[in-house]
Amino acid sequence: MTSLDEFKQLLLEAEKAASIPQDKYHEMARKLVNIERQSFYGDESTVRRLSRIREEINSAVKKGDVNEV
Amino acid sequence: MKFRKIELKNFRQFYGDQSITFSTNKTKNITLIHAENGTGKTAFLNAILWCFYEMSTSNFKDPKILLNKIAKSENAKSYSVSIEFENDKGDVYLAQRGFSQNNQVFRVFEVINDSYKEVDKPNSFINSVIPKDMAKYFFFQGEGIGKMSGSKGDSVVKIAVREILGFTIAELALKDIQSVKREYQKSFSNSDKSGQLSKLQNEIMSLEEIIERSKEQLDDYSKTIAMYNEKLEVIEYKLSNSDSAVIKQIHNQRKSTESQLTREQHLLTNARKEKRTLISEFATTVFGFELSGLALDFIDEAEYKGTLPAPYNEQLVTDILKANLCICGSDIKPGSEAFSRIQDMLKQAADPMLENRIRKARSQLTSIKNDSAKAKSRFSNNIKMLADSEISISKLKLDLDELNIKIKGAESLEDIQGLENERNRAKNNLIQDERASERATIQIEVNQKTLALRKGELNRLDTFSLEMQKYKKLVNYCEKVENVLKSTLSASEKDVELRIIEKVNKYLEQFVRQDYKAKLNPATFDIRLVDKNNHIVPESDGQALLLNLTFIASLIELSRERKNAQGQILTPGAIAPFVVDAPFGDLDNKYKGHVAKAIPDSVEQVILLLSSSHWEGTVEQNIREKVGVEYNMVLEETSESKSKDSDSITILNKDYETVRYGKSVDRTVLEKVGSYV
Repeated sequence: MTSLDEFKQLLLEAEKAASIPQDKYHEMARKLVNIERQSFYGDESTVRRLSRIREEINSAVKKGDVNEV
Repeated sequence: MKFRKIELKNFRQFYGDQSITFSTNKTKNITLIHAENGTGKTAFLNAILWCFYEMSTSNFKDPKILLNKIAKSENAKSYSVSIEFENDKGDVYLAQRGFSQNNQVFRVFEVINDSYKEVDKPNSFINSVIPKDMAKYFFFQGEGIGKMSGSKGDSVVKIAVREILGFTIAELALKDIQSVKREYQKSFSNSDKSGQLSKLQNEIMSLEEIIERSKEQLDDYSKTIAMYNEKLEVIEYKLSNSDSAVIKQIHNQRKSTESQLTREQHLLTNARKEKRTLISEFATTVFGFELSGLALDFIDEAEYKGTLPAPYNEQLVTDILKANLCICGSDIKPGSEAFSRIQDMLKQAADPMLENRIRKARSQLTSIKNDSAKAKSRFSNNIKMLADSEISISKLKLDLDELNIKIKGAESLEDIQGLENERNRAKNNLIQDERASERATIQIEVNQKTLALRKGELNRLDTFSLEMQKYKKLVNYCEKVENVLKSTLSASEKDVELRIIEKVNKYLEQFVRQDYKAKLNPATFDIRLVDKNNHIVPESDGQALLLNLTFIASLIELSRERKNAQGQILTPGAIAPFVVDAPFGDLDNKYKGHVAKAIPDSVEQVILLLSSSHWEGTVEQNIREKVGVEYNMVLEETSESKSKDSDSITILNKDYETVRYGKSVDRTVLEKVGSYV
């Protein structure tokens, strides 16, 4: 049986999940931050990082074109 | 995350192999390390920072020379620090940073049943456990963080809040997306063969850069304005609480005169605004007044009376005469009596459209005539208000000058004169920055309007080539992602302002004797103590340190709350041991006790590095029952003690040496003196 605390926790998690915007631009922002994080804490060069960012944006825009059709 | 064990090999004063096993007990969560000045507290804290991130605290001298001197003289070439820790799920890891054969190696292993499995990308892994930016708040040098308030407080607090929220990475991402967007904008311009669109695009790019720079400037102005306002508030507080009754009285009089002046200036601004409104509202009335009189006379001339408004429609009468046929169906022959009568009607007939226009004109002119009386009375009132305010303002300014001279003239009170000069400087700087800020705001508004127009123009043009269309889409996409990042950062900063200050106040309530609260200035991020009337209180050194500690405790708490932040743009928070080197500095005994008691309650694991002056008394009384294990850092010296007194520390009624003379090498050794778990 679910205790009251567990229920509260589930509600809090649901609220948290609902508060995170899910549109494609937020999704892309999260992707870019992850690329940035990997580069900042790892040893990836600036050139490589920017090229990954360009790749992500290019592919998202292309995908958008296909979806629009 | 909890530390289990640390091993130091030839690291600074820790010659040979030295280790500490930390308490991981939930209730007795303190590992206490006694260390007198100069034995190695700071080196120990730096061993942790070096092992995880290859970084050091600002007070750690010669941070590049880490090999122990004795080991070096014995031709040893290697030194290392290993930390064994467990995560929230109980998984055990070992982080090792070592230097040998001119090479530094950092490795992390997962420890499963005494076997070691190396973790790929150790730097990324450690930063996922505790991000580097947040580390200095967990592995904390008591004297290192500086003041939370005053001239440098703003940047300290702002940086700390941003680092604990993981702004660093999101801001780097923002910079990158802006730079990629600029690349696409340039490619768009370059692919325009006509040159017409690229001109527009270049203008957009340059406007965006100007707006960005102006916003940064505006941000700087807001900070300096807030800083001068706070400075003035502190000076006002000091003057209001001056020892001299005369100064106190004059200053209070000045404060009340200044309030009156502010009110009058406000009234003057409103009266000026009303004047502008009146001019736009009654411009036609004022300028058309004379004309309206003449025009009405013209329309009311006797010869037009009876014609306008006309009883007959001119078009209808002309049509009847042309058709020789009445509307009743009878023939009307020219020369007949009926024809002549109808012809006479033309004299009184008029065009209905013209009639309508004249009627409207007359009504407009009449309203102008009526409005003129109203306008006159409102303009007279406004002119009177403007004059009254200007007279009051100049009188109040004279009064203020006189009061200023009186305060400055207090020759015997040099500190008052100093405060006065400081006050004048701050006031002048404030006025200058406020004006500059207003100018910058107007400039931004103008540029934003132009930018919107240019973007609109560009979007309306449909002469793009396929290549240009591609770049336009890429630019638009980058812009949308850029806006997401910007709005997330700004919303999070606002949210954290409230949460941090709430937490700081929760701690202060427990610690501070007076009815003081902490107040965060959102423009500068400066945290200050305010009294019950919301006036800034100049803090003592002890109060300032207390504010620092409560702030750090609040940051750690905030980080813990954000531990499970999933899928967010900002880095999730961390739960980590709180390793504190000499946290109690200038605190008096009572404050020390309060803070010491609160620390183990707010974090999962505490490693306290304390000298006897910090430990003995209230600190011991308040945390003794929470100590899990206890170590003593002993300084071993090759020199003889000669006439030096023996140094020792008393722990649970037993004396322990803190210095030993006549030993074979100079070093610090870590000795366990108690385990209570």
